[in-house]
Amino acid sequence: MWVLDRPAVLLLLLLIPPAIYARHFWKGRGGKLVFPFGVWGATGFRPPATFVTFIYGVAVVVFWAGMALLVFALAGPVRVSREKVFITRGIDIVIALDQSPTMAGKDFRPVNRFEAAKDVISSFIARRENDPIGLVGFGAEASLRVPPTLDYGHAQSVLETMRILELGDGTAIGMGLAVAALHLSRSTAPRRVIILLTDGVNNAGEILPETAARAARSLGIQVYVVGIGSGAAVEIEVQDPATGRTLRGTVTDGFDEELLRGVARAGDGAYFYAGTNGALQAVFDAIDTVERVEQRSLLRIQREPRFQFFVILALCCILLDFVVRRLIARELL
Amino acid sequence: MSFGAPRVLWFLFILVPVMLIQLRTYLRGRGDLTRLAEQWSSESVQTLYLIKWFFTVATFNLFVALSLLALADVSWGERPVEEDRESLDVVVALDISRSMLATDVEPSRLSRSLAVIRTVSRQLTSARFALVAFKGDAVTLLPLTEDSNALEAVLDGVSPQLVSAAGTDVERGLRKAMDAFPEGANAHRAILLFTDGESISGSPTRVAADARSAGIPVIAVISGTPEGATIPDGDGTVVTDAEGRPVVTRAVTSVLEDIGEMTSAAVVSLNNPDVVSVLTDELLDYVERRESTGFRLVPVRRYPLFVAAALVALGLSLAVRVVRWKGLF
Repeated sequence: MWVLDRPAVLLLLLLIPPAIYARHFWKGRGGKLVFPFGVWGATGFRPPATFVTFIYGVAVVVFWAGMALLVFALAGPVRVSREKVFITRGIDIVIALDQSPTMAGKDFRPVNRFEAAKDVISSFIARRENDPIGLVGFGAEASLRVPPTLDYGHAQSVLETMRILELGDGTAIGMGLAVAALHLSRSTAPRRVIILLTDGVNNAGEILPETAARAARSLGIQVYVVGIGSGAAVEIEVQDPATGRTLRGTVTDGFDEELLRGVARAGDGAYFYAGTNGALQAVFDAIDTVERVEQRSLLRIQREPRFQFFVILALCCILLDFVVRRLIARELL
Repeated sequence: MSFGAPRVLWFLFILVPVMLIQLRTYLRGRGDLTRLAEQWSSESVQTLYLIKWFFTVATFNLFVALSLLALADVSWGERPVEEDRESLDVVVALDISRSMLATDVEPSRLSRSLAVIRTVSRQLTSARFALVAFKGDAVTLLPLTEDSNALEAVLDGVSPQLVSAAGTDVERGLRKAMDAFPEGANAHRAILLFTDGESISGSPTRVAADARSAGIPVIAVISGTPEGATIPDGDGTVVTDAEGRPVVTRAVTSVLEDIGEMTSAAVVSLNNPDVVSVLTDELLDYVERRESTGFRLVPVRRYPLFVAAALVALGLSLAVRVVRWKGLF
């Protein structure tokens, strides 16, 4: 929003019309040489309309526009922005996302499980305020992609770049949980949460999922588990990021629902099953609703003067008038 | 007195062609009056013309100079602004250009910078850190986080190969660092800038002015020495120029000192054995000062004075022309 610091200064604009009269129309004005020219009582002499008189006319208009712009600059144009600042600490949330090949299952039309999960996570991040969000990816290995941060733009851009198979062919659920818990371990947040999103059976890594969930619980971290997909056979199509080759096939293994329920219990959280896009969205909506703490905020107002544009334009206008009058119209003063 | 946009002062040189045009106008005007003969060629008219020309020129040039001073954003004095922030957010802007591999700081400028960042972050346990690396371009390697494990892991992987664009664009690095402070955070903010200051492109002082407006100190760490050193090429040789001579990289301090001065922050050499304690003390003092007083001092920008004076000067220039003197012109 734009405001003026000194709006009363705009009253100076009222001086411009009389100044224009005095400068261009007042017969007693200075800056000109007066000659008797023409026949007594006849029509006076007027200069012919030429390119020079046209340019001169433009310069006159530009000069007074410059004067008005200077008055605007003096009135103190200011851009006011409001920033909502939180004075309480939010919840730290780390989302552990399965990047194994089975996440390419095409039972989340029109996209696959992985892309559907990314969309839902993205909208989940977009709805949070003041809650640091982190991202952990896991396949055969696990890796921290984004530490818990309020820089949601960064989290979203990293989420966008995550691909299936980039952490190997496998599903190390325990490792994913462990990495997420490690990066929440030193957090000072009053509440810390891991959301595990997977469609697989734990078949890689050196840490059992229940063990990792219990370790997280001992650190005061709650673990939500979201199982996606189904036990039915499903087609997959995935591009290997290492070779660029497209791999196709059919997955017949369902996810280990008992294991996932056990992980949720061990992590003092809850288990959700999401077999469709709508169900997945509903699960994240539910977590979004449950995981809220009281937020106190204040509104910080920032004022940034924006006089520069007006002064630069005014200076250009007035210098243009100067050049035209001195070099083209050849005025004496 | 300080300037928010000191480079604008270079435009004062525009007064030279303006004055040449004015002088030419005067000489031509004198000739025209003489050619008109009669009363216009008299000594009194010529004197009157000279006086009127002088006042017109003086007031017009004053208008131009005052407008440029307004644009240079002159400020003097300080006023308190309420500051109710808590804790500390630090964004580290780290130069990872090849010249940072020079060994005039042991073991190298980059390695020593990384060690200093690591130690400072371990000492400021309650602060959140972000890491921005820059060369010809800038990338956020770590968003602002209190996750010290993540910072350690990212620092382990820093090398000049992380950014492909060559050069040292401090402006981009600082701009990215400014953007790394998330909206809505209620912490004190500071930037630690590690660079040798060599081959700088962009306009670091422009973004330093923005940092000053936002109350963010930019603490510059001069990573290198004025004597300089060659740059290892990784295979036991050193980087050479087109004629085969070894390239010697030297720390350039002037820009960093300007940034420090503009944002009222310290400038410290990486070779200083107390660099870690200087940085931590500076950051802790900054937070303590603001938290104990509840306000921060900001420079008072004086541009309205200069715009008003410019307007008056232009009005006078106009008045000198419009008012007929001695009934002549």
